[in-house]
Amino acid sequence: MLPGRTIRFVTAGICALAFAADPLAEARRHIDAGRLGEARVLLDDLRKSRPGDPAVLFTALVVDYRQGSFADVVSAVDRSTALGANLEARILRAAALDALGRDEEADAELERLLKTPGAAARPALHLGRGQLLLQRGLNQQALARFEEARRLAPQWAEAMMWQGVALMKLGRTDSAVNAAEAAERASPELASVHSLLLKLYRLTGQEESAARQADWLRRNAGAGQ
Amino acid sequence: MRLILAACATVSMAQIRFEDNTSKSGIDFRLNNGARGSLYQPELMPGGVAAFDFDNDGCMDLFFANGAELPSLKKTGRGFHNRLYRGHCDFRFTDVTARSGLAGEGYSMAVAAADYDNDGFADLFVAGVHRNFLYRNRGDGTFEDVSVRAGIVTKDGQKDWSISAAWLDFDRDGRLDLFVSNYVEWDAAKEVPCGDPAHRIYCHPKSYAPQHHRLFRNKGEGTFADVSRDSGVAVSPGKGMGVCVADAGNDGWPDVFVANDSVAGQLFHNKHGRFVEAGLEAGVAYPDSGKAIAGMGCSFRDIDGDGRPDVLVTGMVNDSYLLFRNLGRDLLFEDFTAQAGLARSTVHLTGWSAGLFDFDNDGLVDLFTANSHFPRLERQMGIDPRLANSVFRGSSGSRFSDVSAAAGDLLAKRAFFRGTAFADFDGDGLLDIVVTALGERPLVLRNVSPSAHHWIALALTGKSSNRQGLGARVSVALPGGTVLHGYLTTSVGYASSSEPLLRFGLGPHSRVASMEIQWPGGATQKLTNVEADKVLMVTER
Repeated sequence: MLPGRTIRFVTAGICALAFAADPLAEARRHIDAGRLGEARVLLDDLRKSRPGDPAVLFTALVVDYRQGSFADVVSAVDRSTALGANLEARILRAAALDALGRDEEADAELERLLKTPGAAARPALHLGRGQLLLQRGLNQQALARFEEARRLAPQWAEAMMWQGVALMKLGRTDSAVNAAEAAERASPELASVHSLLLKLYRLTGQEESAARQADWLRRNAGAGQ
Repeated sequence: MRLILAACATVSMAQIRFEDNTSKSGIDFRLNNGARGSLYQPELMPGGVAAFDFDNDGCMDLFFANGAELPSLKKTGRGFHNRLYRGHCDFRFTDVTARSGLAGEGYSMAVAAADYDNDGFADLFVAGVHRNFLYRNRGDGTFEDVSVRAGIVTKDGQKDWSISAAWLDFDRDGRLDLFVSNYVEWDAAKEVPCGDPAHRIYCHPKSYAPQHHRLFRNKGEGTFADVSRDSGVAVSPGKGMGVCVADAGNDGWPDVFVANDSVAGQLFHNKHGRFVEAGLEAGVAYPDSGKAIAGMGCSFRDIDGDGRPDVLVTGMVNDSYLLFRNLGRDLLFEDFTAQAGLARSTVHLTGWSAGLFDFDNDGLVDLFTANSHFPRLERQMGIDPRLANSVFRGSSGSRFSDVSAAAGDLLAKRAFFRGTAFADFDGDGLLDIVVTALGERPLVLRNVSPSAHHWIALALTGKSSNRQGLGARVSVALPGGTVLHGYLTTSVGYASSSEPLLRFGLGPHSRVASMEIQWPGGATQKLTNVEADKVLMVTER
């Protein structure tokens, strides 16, 4: 039931974090397994025993975000100097603002973050920004973000796929097919790539190729999956 | 400066307005989902509403589907009864449930109204959890339960949880058939807890197996055959919510779109009476992201004046409400959501029912959506899960602008909104709306848009086609050369049924230059130089 799109685009970097203390590591394992309730219990104890610990605060922020408590994410980052100085926390805040429909604030924060050296090198952030631009129909600007994400992560299928989406929206269907086929080669199991290829093959009149993609999707991503 | 610009924008866009007629309506129905803290999945889903004229007095009446006690699925008291209200053409309604015999049984979800036996009186199909009902209108203000005799009680072992239904003549034999969208396998005894142990939430649809939908072929003489398997409908199960009908392929055969919850959307392409599920190939299964949305309601209507029906689907927060534009070649649609301006304006919403209609009669299609996040998510989301409804005004280029804030105070009311019935309840030519809400009385929204625009509505009577002309395609040519297109269906939105009229906003034109009706049976009828601002009765020749 909880929203997934914005969660995906900011958590790629979060999951790479290491936790030195055992209770934190356990909380992290709970988060990875989707056991947010259990993670919350551990983190509540940790907040009492280690008040103000930036790692604890940030991990609790991740739980808030994963639970969709977007307003709590924003207020926690705004309240805490430690979180406010943390790039990951600011990315989460921007995504939370977006999820809350506070577009202008989310935009301003993301643009600001993309100018910081730490964030500018992160492909996931460029991808997320591109997706937001695409939502507004700013397809050319979105394409630039996806291209940057792909430059930073040349084998990242999702970046290739979204590049393909932007190209399709711009009417550059041949280039879109190339990007989507590259994504398929990089990650053959990614259903969204097959969905895009199906649309592109139909648009370009490649009906047999389209049928193959439809077959793949029916076998691997059908109703009830 | 930004504030000034925003204010100017509001004034220029304020053509659509609704006022509250709930308290004056006499409607005391309260949608009761039977929730008592156990979080049974059916509690989320009711309830539908139908606008139809059961007594042929020219005034739209209302039927509300209601829940039941859980887990028994029994209507244990009047608070769970379905309700029929007789309309008086002035936004006043009288409860005639007791006399009508429509109080009902079981846990009702949805309603679909149509004259299935071609006797001139609209009948009701009421969908529900594990049991559906067909009520035949006797024509004297009473209805009889003909479910068993008509053959709509199924026997193949699937315990249907039906969420929506649509009447259509899929085989074009002049008799209305019935498509029923089914949701998931559900058994109260097997309901498992979901979410944090300290704060349970309703389970995700992935916790339940999908069901196949149903198609009942009208055999005549009041009986139906379950042709779900023979017709190809049962081949593709889904987690069906809203169901909408239009001739997507412009071949004269009605196609069916089903909004599915968290699995691919489905387009049942009607190939001369046999259906092939072609949602993937048509490009309406997924948005461009390739991720299934939590599809809820739908509306299937031409938004860009090219004569080809487009599809709108409501979804959950972060899905955006999807708009698929019909490209008109080989049954292919494109995801037009962002271009239409709906991606950003709806991404923070969760929507149930929806209707693409011209609410200000300016000749451009607008959009109304009944909104609400899921109950119990306030802790997770940090916001009130009850939402206000939305109105999006259509403009040239098929763009939709959110004009809810200027559409009247009632649009700010927050609730767990669900079904909608669209109809002109007072005959002023402006389309009104009734919206159901969990645990509350429905909103009765009177359209008071300050419009000087003209309109025309068609009430069709079929002869060789079905009596109500459902499935008729109509094109209306205006004096300036603009052509408007419509398709007659009562199945719009979520779990609900709207007026059986084809309605067009004509803008400044007080006459229609010409009009062509393509009846579902195949005949074509032309009218010229038709005066506007009336309901035009047309009988099939």
